[in-house]
Amino acid sequence: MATEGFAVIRRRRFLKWGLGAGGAILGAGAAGYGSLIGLAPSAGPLRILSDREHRTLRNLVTTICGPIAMRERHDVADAFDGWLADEPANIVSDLQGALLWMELGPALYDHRWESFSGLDQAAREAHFRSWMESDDLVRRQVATAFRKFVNLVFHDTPSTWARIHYPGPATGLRGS
Amino acid sequence: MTEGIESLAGVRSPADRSADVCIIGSGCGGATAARVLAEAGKDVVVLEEGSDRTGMELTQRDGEMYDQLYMDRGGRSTEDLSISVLTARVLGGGGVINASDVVPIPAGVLAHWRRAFDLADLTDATLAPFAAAALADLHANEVTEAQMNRANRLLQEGTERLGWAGARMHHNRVGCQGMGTCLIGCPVNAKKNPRFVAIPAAIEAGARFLTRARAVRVEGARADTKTVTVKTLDARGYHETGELRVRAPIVIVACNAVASAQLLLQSGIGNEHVGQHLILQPQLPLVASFDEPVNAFRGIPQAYAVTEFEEEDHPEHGLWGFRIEAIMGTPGIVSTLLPYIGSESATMMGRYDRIAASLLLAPDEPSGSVRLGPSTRPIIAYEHREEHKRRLRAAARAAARIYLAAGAREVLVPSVPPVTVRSTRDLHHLDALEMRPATTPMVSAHQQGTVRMSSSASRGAVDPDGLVWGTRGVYVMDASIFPSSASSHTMTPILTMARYLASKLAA
Repeated sequence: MATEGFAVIRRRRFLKWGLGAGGAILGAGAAGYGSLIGLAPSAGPLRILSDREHRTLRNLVTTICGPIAMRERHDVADAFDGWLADEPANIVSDLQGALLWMELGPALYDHRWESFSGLDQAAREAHFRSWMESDDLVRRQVATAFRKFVNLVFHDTPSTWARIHYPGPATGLRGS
Repeated sequence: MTEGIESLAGVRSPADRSADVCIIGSGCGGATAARVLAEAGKDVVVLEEGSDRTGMELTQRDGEMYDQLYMDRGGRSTEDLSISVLTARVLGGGGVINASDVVPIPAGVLAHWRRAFDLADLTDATLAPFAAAALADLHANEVTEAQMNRANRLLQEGTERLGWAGARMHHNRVGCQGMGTCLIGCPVNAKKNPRFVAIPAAIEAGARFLTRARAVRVEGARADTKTVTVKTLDARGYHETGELRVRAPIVIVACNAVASAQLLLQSGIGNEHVGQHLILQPQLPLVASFDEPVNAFRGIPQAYAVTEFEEEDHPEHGLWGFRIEAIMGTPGIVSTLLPYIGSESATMMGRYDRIAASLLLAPDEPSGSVRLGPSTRPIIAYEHREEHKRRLRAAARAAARIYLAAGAREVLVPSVPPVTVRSTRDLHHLDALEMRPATTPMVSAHQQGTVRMSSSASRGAVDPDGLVWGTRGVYVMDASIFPSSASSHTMTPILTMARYLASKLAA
């Protein structure tokens, strides 16, 4: 699947940002972390992701594809979980770090005591767009990688085809 | 098991093999070399990391097909995420997933290679019989007027209104049903690619093809017999399950310009040029919106090329300038190229049936490298030079003018932030295209140069016979050897050079 760049985002840069995020959260204390991240409902049996990471992904799906993706967002997140199960260990840990980083992004960069999942749709879109346009290459890479994966899986879902006027795979045309 | 093709998927204790020739990679280079050498009486074993997928196994679905036909699920890219580096992982290689364009090596490119790399043997006359054989293998033919879909016609109409040069392309389809999913495989096997030409001929001559067999190391590069260590993979190709060794006096590496360099580096084979001089030919997509339904997702995606601005005999570079070609993809891949999120994304994809797209192709100077990474995946570095960006901006201007002339309501370069042109007064918007890393969805489908050919070990990694300098019997026969861009599309050049080099080896 077009998960461009997941394989090449540098581990050290994630560690740097992860440690920074961790430090900020530790500074705020465990109680603060809990109040920021909150609890996520069970996402069902998962292979790699935690319930919280699955929640972040579900919210990324509606952020990237719009509220019309509400019905498919769980399946897209499940697909990501299945995809991770086949990835090398270093890439899995990098991506889990990226999900945490995205979740903490509003607190780290927007100076608001909110997690990504705690934002409403408009605020999530604005936050994600700020990563797409960021001067920081690593934030742009993370946004690019998630945007490509989510879009590819979402638009490969037959339930999405009618609204884009795509009739689906052809079954034996003639000519052209 | 199809006769001559053995899947090693999930095999835990495979038997070791021996042969006269072990070829790594079953694409245009590897399959062609296998055929030539098997027909010359050699016992040939070919290793392929991918599986064998034909007919309706090619499901036209993005997720499954990128997962099974492309390296790293289509996610391979340069380390800064500037450029998607598309390479195949399937029996038959890049010919299974390409746009089927047949473009031979221009005479000007051969002249450049002779001049700049002292490859005196590479004359038009020397290569002519091999180029002719390649075209015959491909069943090369010109796309007919009737095969042009609306998106290609719009590109043609706009080009002709501006009085610019363009042409219907040549391709290797026979019996095309216009399904439109060429980039994720043809379910009616219309592409006359190595899977349906060279591989059956090689098998007929006695060659054996092993799939889900990942070569990880070549040892004994100066010895009489080389040993190739091979990992078998699970059915989906992501987990190693077993190991075997293939022993042969001759090893031919032909698994594309990224993986061939990676394998040589892993094996400690070759000189300092291995992995260097990477050419990516980065292509910039451009999208035009029309009021009318275009339905570009059906028919041949890439049937017409604007050739007005292409130079085939540039004195310093050989192939240079730029060309513009129509393109289209399935919804998943198209959506990954667009720069929008949220409701803007939904609105843009809602116009999926009314868009026509192009790829802006501009040859580049070698400015990249391949090196080993912490996992099984290589790291691809690439410096996207300002001069190349300038040509892409010029190409975007030209393409925008063409689509506006054809009646487009808007032309979009899908960068972040998006750059749109609604009339010729907006053309200057394109000057703002920065192409910063991870903002512009550039694509590389024609990687070349990482084991480049030269008459001197001081300037290249293989000699004019394709032999890796400093080895006995380790050859490279794929796009890795091209010292500059061989063509706007590398399938035919690879077939030509593999036939030429394998014939020399067989003799």
